[in-house]
Amino acid sequence: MENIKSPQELRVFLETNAKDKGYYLNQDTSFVNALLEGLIRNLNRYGYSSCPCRLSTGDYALDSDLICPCRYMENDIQKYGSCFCALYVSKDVYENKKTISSIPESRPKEKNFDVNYSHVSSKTNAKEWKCAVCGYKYLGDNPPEKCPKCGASRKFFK
Amino acid sequence: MIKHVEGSNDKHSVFLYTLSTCVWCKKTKQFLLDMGIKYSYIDVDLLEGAQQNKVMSEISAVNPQGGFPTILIDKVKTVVGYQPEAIKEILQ
Repeated sequence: MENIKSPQELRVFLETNAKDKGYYLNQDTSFVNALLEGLIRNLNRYGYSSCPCRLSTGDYALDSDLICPCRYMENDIQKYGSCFCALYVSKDVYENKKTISSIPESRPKEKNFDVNYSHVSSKTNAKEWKCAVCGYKYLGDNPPEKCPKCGASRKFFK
Repeated sequence: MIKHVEGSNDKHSVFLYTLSTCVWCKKTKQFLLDMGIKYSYIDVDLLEGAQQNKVMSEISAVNPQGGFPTILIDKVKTVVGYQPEAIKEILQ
């Protein structure tokens, strides 16, 4: 991420990353561009590209779950077809041009209001699960129902 | 800090807690503008320290889960996220 300076470079980086994981960027280019501007603003003011749709504290340890793609992204795509910002969408949403709307916040409220309180431990339960079939790495509390990339069932995640 | 946007429809008080970077916030502001609704907003990420904490406490009182935009209508009704239909219904 250190070399990324422009929204265009960030777009290429995120798009490659998304495709690699079996997801897509929202088809609405102006929507995506507005999110890229937000990510770049966060990169410039915090030093990391945290979620533009959530409030960062400026403390890396507290905000680490929000660095795009955030740790709620995969769970939200499985559940709603898009991430919280609607930057990333599922293959189904992308290919069938499904309308996406604002989804509920999956980030725990304690973390959203961490800024208020005396910075409780920011440790999260998310861990990396690896698909034994294709090597796909999934970040979440639990392994997915099926692999977003090759479709292997949950039991193949270790 | 608090910014006011004029509109021909001022029957309700409409207040938005937003982030300067959030696209659902931008869409909500645009929707209110298109509807000619008078509203006020505050970009919480542009605040600092105690001021930001104070505003975050206000948000947690009306929207315990958190999330932007948080829209407060007539000081009692809360809408979270980009929800044009819900806003329309309340403002009718």
